[in-house]
Amino acid sequence: MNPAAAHVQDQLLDFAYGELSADQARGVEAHVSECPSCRQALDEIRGVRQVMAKLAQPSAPPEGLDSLLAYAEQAARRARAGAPPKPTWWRRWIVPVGGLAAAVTFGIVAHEVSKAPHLQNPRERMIAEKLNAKEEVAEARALSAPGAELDRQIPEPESDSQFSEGLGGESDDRFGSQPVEPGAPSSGGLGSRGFEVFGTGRDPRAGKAFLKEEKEVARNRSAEKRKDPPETRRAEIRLRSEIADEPRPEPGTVGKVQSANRGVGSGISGGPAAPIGQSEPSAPASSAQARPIAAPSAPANSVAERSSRASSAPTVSAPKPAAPAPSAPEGSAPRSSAPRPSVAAPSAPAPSASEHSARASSAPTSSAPERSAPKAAAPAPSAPESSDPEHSVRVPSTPDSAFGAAAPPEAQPSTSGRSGAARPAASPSAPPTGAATASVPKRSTEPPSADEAPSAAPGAASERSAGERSIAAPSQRAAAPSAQSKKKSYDAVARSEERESVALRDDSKQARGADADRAEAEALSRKAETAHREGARAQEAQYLREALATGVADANLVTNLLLRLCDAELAIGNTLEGRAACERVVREFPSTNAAAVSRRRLDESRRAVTQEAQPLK
Amino acid sequence: LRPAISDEELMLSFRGGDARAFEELVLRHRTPVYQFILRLSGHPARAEDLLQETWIKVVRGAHGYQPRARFTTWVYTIARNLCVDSARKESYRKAESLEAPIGADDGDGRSLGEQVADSGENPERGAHNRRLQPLIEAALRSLPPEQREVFLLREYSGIAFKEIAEVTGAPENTVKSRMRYALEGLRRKLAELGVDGDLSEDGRTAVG
Repeated sequence: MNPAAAHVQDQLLDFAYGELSADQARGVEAHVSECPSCRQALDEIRGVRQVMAKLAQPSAPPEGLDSLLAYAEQAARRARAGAPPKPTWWRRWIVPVGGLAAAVTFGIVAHEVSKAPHLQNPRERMIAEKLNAKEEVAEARALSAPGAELDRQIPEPESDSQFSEGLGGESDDRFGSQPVEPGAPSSGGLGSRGFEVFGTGRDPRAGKAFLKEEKEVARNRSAEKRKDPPETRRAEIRLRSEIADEPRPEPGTVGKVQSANRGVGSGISGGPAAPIGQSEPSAPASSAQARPIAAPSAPANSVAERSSRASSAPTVSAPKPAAPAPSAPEGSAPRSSAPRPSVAAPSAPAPSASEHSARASSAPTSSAPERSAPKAAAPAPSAPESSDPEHSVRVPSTPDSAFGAAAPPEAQPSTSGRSGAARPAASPSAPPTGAATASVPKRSTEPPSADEAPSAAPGAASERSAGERSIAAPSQRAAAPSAQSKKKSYDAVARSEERESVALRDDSKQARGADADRAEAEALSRKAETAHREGARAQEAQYLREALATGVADANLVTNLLLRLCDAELAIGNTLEGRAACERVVREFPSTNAAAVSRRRLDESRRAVTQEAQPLK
Repeated sequence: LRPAISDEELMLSFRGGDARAFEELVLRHRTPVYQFILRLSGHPARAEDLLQETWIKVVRGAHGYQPRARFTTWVYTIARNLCVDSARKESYRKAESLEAPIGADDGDGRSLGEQVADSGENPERGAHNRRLQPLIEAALRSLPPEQREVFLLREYSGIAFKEIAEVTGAPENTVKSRMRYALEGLRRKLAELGVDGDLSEDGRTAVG
């Protein structure tokens, strides 16, 4: 291009592409007419454009259009439902702050627990307590005082209350909820700490504390088994053997203890007796096994028996704690489900301190907690399931209802819109039937698509002439049963549409040429757009019908008009008319995007009809 | 036919939950956008993917749509950016020639130009186009990408220079310069290929 024309290059480009205002265009035109270089530059631009205009313009493939429109409809549905609420600032921070608070709380608790002296080494502390208790028992025996008095004399270790408070305060209410007779005689004679806890009945939490203590000891044992210095274990065994070697108490004392135990046993029937009964068979044969459990009068609390238990305890409990230790936390499971055998409770004596430890270690090995633990946990998964149905019900209802709200109801047109009386109201411009001449174009008489057309009725109708159909239609309407009214009304709609288009087309083709048809169709289309904006869909449909009746041949325009007519008719409830318009697009322009949209609308219409029919069933 | 309802109004309707408005937008612009993507990327299968991705982005961005610019500007910006990204991703691969067979999956072994030329209905015109299409495609392909995109947007999509500047992110004067260079380059290339304005039968241009 000539550099001499650089001063109008920009304007030449704009001028060639029509981007200049009218005044500027006139100025450039005048300049070009006088300036050969600019004229040459403009001719070069136009020449290139003319050649490049031959580049083929392929239409977009319809693949993916359905999914795109479905996605858009989903988005539109969401938009109709309202945007999701924006998370407020505190909602955004609640999770991290909550997590931080939980971590801090856990850290404080862990720190406090580690600082507590009575929790640092409970086992050593327990041994010391037992030694103290043993001394006190010996002292009490020396005094030969009655059990009740002894109980009063023997001071309760201060640490016990602390221990009970610290461990059994709130978690386990098995014993606290059991009825303990206030006046029951407290345990005497043996004066062990375990008896104090079980027998006094003064503090219900004492029982809980004892169980907790047992668990704690069992846990510590299992943890220390591997690394315990043998001295500690030996000291404990020594202690137990010493207790077992104690002289048998006097019968009166034992009887009192038994009566006290009976009271306690009735109060703790669900207590630790069951594990003992179940774990004892695994012990070596001893008098404990042969002990008549059901005999209340038997000296079950005899020292010999305790001796056998105590002596067997190390051998029994030594290998066991390793296995039950992990299941110790499951000890709460039997609380809910496992009915513990209470057979041992009335007769079984309150065990000695050493027996408590053996029991604690063997308790988790019993099969009852293991079996009942899954049972207790079994209902847990049902909780989310129970909440699921609510969620699953909510999800499918949303799209359907939203779509149903948007789709025109089928019942309205099917009941009233297809009757002979209602039809003229739907198409006021429809000419009288006599106006339907025999010059119906074959294209417009084609039946709707096979999948949509209700059976072969439209196909047969297409074979007939318009006049025949106009005559036959009223008689058919009169004689048609209600089941076939849909087919016939569909046929009638197609016929009335053809009549409209044919009559108007004939008139217009006589008077105007194709350009005039197009101009009129465009004018009517604009009117329809205006009506659409104002929400007058019926008026819009009327304008569109008139625009189509002009006989305009431009495929793009016809497609546009038909699609809009389909939308308008469906919107005002004229389902059959809407379908007919969409099917015409599918029929006449099958490989276009408009056909894909039409197919989609037809599917939606069918779905809406199906959804409305389902509640009726 | 100038639509009474503008693209921007349709987009706002779609933002408000009117799915029909989106259908109308798709009917208006899907094919032009596809043609732009096809010419810019030069790969039919990839063009389909990019086209779908473009419209999905339109749907996703509908909730935040503000009619500050024309809808077409927005859509072509999305399409153009996707094409640029795709070209970057594919840059390490061997670029497929427009004359080279597209592949067994994409067609029957004919070139893109030959496939595109089949859209003519008139047999004479079809034959003429089949002869002309590869040359035009070759001329178009000879343009640098920045010139080609400007030419495609202006010539085939009917986007004004000012809007092309928004789409490409380049100043309007730069856009016009690229357009001038593109026209000059096409003229030279077509002359090399023996194509001139005489091949044009009716003297019409594509857009405007």
